This record gives sequence, structure tokens and C-alpha cells, in this order.
Amino acid sequence: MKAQEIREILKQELGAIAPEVDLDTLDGEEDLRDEMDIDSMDFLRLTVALGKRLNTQIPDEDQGRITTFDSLLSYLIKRSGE
Amino acid sequence: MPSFGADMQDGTLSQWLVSTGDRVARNDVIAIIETQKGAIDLEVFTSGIVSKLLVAAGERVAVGTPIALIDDGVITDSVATEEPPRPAVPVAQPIPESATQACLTRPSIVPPAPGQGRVRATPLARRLAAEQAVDLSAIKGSGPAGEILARDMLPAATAPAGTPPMDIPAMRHAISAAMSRSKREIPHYYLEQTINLQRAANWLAEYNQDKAPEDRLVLNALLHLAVARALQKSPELNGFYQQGQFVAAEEIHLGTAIAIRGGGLITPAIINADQLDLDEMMKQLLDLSYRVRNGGLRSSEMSLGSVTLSSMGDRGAEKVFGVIYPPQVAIIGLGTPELRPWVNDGKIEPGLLVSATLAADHRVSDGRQGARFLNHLNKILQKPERL
Repeated sequence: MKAQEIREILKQELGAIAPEVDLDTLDGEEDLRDEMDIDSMDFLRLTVALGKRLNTQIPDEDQGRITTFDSLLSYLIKRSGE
Repeated sequence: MPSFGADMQDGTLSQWLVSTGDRVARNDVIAIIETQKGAIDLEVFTSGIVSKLLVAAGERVAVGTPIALIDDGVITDSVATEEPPRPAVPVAQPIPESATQACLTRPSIVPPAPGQGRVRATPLARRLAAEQAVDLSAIKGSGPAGEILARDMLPAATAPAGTPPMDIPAMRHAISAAMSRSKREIPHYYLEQTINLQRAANWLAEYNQDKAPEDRLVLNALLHLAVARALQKSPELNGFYQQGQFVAAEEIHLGTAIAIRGGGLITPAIINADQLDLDEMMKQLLDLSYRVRNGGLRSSEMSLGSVTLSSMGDRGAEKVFGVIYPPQVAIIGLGTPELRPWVNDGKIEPGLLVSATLAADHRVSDGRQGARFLNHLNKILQKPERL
């Protein structure tokens, strides 16, 4: 899957969780949860949704490494390339 | 129009889900009511046949106003034969005592059934539909489960960016009324205890290790269940202070404070929280946080809370001292857990520490009882495998 497609999927799933957030103004290097004001339940839901869309599973111990939009995106690109 | 909380004065009937002549069973969702707290699913308190809808969709009416008549057939044959048409029972009495009581004593523990002919839409989408006089059932939703989002109601260019999905000024007004009353009437006392969550966190990490994301637990679920279980031994913290006296609640319906993006707060209750297991608690919390955002909170969840938990989660402040939600008599606060030094057996070691606080009504309980509750909570959290 192309990086651009993964980026779109990530944006769609983020939009589903917080429809009122304008994703175009999101700072990709800032903490995603702070930027979007989403809680741990939202984040878990996002993890589940992304896992289903991209047919991969995000291990619990990796959650701490994917705190920004950019790091989450490159994590997903790397993972779906494996 | 029933009350979904001490702070509710009126509600807008946003959508009827039944029509005249429909048969309804107790706890069925019959309408969607728009309140300061968003769209709430109204459950009916009796079974029968809908004989008349008294309030049209879009109308805003005060709490206590009858909104529909339901023929519950409670008329003996001898009377029924002599009298013309059977008198029907208003869904909400002008003096709502009996209706409210019926609601309060008959909690719904039936999980919401999605797709039961109800149009799924976010509160903002509903509001926009009402303003534009658009029939929601004619709109195709673009949400993940086909629910109608605000963007489906408006051309993208005119969609108000970042508009919160609820009526925030009205909600602020409702919070203001309830909290002012609380601080005016309730003599709060406050206690705090630091609890070491390291064991619980270790246990949880091990539990989650090989689980698929959808089967994982978050620490907050464990904390919610521990609080609910600890309350079993503290009936003086779980109940209502009304008309000058305390009435203990028979069940533990744990209100959980959920912040709303853009400001505001909502405290739906987890019904019979202490009876759940960890997986069930996790599902309930996931489900509640979803429905707070997307609509579908049920009237029982809004009116039955017997005690409240305000948990900061992993992104909050270190400590939280709550304001009791009247007529409840206690609110438990859990700060954000932090890794800090802890002395164990004479040695300093790192521990994931959380501040657990209790704000309780001094008319009903005293510091010693409150402290016993916090100690009991600590004990439960040291044995997470037993939850």
C-alpha cells in the first residue's frame, strides 16, 4: 500500500473519532492526543480501526512510540511494508 | 418531559421513534430528546399502546409537560365496559413525581440495540437538521457506522469549523446551576490518599501483552471497577440527599465524568457498575465515550447515577477535588497517575502513584467513614487479579 493511501486512511479514521477537528491545521510533530483532545478510549478505538483497515496489529508496547501524527504515519507505513 | 438530572429545566423533542398506535414495551427508546447535554434516547417507563403524541418534533417543552399518551390497559373490565374510551396515561405527568419515580426505580440494563429503526446522527447534525427543517431519515450518513455527521447537513464551505457537537452555552448554564446549588447547600469535606498502582499496572501490562487491540484493557477501566467495588462497603457514600434526609441507593450506578471537546462535561452512569467484570467495564467505558460524542445516551443513564467518579485519565492534573453533583452525596477524584519514588520495606523504589480523593457530604458521612472507603479502595487495587 502506498504511503499516500495510508495517510488518507489515517486521516479518515482520525476524522471519524473527532469530526470537528480540522486535520489540515494539525501539527504533525505535536502530541496527537493533545492536538486533537482525544482520550485513551478514543486512542484505543483508533488503534483498533487502523488495525482493521490496514490489516495489521499494533502491539500494546508500541503505543508509547506513536504519539504524534508523523510518528504514527511512519510507523504505519513501515508496518504495512513488512 | 422527564428530567434527566437535577439541572435540567426543559428539552426539545428532536425525533419521535414511534407513532400513534404503536405498541411499546417498558424501556423501549421512543424518542430522542435534545438537552443541554446533547441528544438523549428517551426510554418509556411503561408498556402499552401509544394513543397520542402531544408534542411535535422540534418543540421545546418544560420538564413535567406531558409529551404523549400511552394506553397501558390498566382498567378493569367492569369499568371499561361502562366508560367510553379508556383514559390514557401521560408519558410524563405534569407533577412528575410518579413518572420520575417509575424511571428511577426501573433501571434499564438492556444494552442499546443499534439500528432499531433509529436514525443515527451526531447531536450537531440533529441540530442543523432541525434548523433547516430537514428530515434526517432522508439523509445518507457518511459516519463510520452510517451515522449522519454535521458535514452531511451542510455544504463544506459553510460548515462552521470546530463547532462543538453540543449546545455548549446551555450546558455551561446547566453545570453552573447544579454546581452553585452544590456549593451552596452541601457541606463538603475532602480527603486524599496516595495509592501505588504499580502492581495494577504490571498486572495490566501482562494481561494486555498478547491481546488484540479490541480486547485490551486500559488502566481507567480497572480504576472504575475498583471504585465501584469499594463502594459496596460504603453505603453512606452511595445515594441521595433529598427533603432533608439521606436515602441510600440499593444499587451502585457509577456516574463517570466525561469531558467534551470544546468544553463542557457529562456524567452518564454505568448501571450496576460493581456487578461488572473487567472486560464488561472496559466495553461500557468505550461505548459511553463513543455515545457521548455521537449521540445515543439513554435517559436511564442520565438520571440514575448514585455517585460520581471523576478520573483524570493519563492526560490530566495530578489531583482532582470534585464538587458533588446533587442530590448525590459523594464524588471520588482520581488524578493522573505518575511515576514517583515510593518507600517499600525501607527502600526507595519507583511506583506509579495516583492521588485518590473523596469529596463527601458531611450531613451524611464523616471523615472516618470516608477514610475507610479510600483505604478499602487501596486494598482492592493491590490485588488487581481479583477484580
